[in-house]
Amino acid sequence: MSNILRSKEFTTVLVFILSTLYVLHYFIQGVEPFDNLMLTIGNWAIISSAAAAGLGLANLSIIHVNKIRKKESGWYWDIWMVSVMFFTFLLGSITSSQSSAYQWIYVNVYQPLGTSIFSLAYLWMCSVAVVAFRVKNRDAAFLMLGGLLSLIGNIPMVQVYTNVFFDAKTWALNIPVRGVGSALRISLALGLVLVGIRTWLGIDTSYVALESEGG
Amino acid sequence: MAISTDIGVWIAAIMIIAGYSIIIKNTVVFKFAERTVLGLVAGTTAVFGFEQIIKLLWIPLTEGKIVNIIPLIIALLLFTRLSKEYAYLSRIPIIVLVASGISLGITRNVSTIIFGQIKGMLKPIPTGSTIFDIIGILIVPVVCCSVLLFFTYTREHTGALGKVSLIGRYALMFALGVSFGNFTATRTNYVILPLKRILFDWLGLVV
Amino acid sequence: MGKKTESVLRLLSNKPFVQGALVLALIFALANPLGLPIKIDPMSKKVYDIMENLKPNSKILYVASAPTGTMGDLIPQSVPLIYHLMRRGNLKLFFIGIGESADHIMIYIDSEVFKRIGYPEKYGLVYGEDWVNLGYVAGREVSYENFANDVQGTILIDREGNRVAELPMFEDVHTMADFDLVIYNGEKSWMPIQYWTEKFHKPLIVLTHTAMLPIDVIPWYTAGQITAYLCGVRSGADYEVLVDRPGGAVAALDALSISHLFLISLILLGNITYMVEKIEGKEAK
Repeated sequence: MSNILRSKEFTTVLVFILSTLYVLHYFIQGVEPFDNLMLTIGNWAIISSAAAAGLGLANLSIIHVNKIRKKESGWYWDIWMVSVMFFTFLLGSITSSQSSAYQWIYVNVYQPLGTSIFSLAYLWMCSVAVVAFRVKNRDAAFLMLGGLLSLIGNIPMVQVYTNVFFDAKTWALNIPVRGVGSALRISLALGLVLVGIRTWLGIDTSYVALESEGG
Repeated sequence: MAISTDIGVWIAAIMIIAGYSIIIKNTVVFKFAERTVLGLVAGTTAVFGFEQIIKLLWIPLTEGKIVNIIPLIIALLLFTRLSKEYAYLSRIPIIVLVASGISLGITRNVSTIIFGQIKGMLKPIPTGSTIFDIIGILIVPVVCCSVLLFFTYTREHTGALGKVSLIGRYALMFALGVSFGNFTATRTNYVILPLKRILFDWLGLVV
Repeated sequence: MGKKTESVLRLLSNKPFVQGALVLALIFALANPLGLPIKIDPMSKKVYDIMENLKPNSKILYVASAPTGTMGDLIPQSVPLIYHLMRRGNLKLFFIGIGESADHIMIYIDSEVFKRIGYPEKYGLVYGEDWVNLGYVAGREVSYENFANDVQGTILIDREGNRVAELPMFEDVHTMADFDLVIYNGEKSWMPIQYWTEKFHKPLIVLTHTAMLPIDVIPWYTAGQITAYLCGVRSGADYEVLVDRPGGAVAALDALSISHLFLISLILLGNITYMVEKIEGKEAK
């Protein structure tokens, strides 16, 4: 039995069957048993997504507990991180994420920390702007032209006195940038469709590590 | 100006200052903030996943929906990923996730994005358009095609292909520049939110 | 390189100096707003008119879908919009979070947004009859697809612990076709387009970051796949003025202007020093 489950054929056949059902469901709708089947499989996928969060917690715990056991560099920080992780999880799962205690932690600890640390990227970007955004060739010139147009067009103070930059930015957004955006979206979609078809047909099985699991 | 006496507001302010302390130096204070937020992200994500499983799986199962045993087993199989010996069993939930995601993506990407975007560009020119509007409307598909040629053609960009893909390259750089400007606005707002919390909620500044 | 150019470059390349200067400039701008008039963007007015002209008892689906760190550019436009929806008093509001980290935004809406503008009960809305918080749905593509085809089966239990099938609001809500308007507050606006509006032809209003505008919102809007959008604090400020409730977004406009001017001056200074370096280099030869 385990040989069958380890085999590449099992993986590719199962993916093919499920994917074919989903693709067929796009074209065949309104057949109640088929609709119910796809909704059921969809619910299983949603539940698996939810379980993946728990897997993340378990994985992080194993990695950091190992670091603590081996007393690797900064191991005391790992104790703090694992404690926070489990405290939050236990508080939320025992009392619920609706509880005032959990919401208090979210509003007064997580949200301020999350937003301040997330915003550091912009401060870093400003500190390298002097050196990083130099116009060294024609490509960089176009980059800077677009950047300055957008920056100036977005300044609320400037819009009070003149609409020229805002209108120029709007024109740029609706014409050349729109063309580029559509092209990027189409390219991305083509890429996703091709990867999807490769996965559907079993040509690409990189989503499961077949070699390391003996497949 | 009246400094807040709410302990929650004080803790929020301390956390924000701890997060921004890296501006001066990477100290113990920032390490504390960093590890705290990592722990919170993992913990809170697991809480939401747990609540989902209780709502969608456990409660219906306890009310008699026996068929929910199957997703329960599938969800539990995901944890075999942690064991070297039984890791192959985790393929089953991964297959369910991957198959649903990619197959939904195939059909929707084609119909909505590829056809939708092409349809959006190939509309008739509205009556009453000025010459400026007409030029603008025609620029869009030209730019789109030239960017697509720049990306998708892997042969050397010389001759006619080179000239057309050059338009695409410059248009792409221009668009990235415009994106950069908008990106700046977004990131500024990320900085403004915690600063507002410090000034208005904690320090009680009134303007 | 000349000594003056070198010293200017060294000062501007000093990360703590530049970052600290920016933070201080933002604090100064927030603490001393200029109170300049605001020119309303036509797009913000379009969103306002759509909300104002919604028929009574319209079912509005409000989807939150973004991580906590991005709240700074997502919440400013959602607060006045949610206030507008509640102020109408005759709409049916369904709040839901879909995708990774979405529930953080739901908690924020719950605890902070409602705290600032008042809970729906203040506007005469009754839970279960006029508004509902459906909580969070994990997953991505498949959750959008499932929700579109079977709303009650995908949610089952709302955030308060009620069975959605037993709530009066859900009497005639079974699929996406039963909603009248979708408002999406998040980063991945292609998701509701692909799974909801394409099949069910529902109007879609997108509330997203300013950064998403060029590559993510404009292609959809110009192709007619999005009805209207509000992007970032700027749109939030417009909307606050339109609903006559100036708040955080209006207060942030001066800080936004200062930070842009700061970055533009850094970029220009960097390019000027680069040109001076090149000229000095040529002269030295």
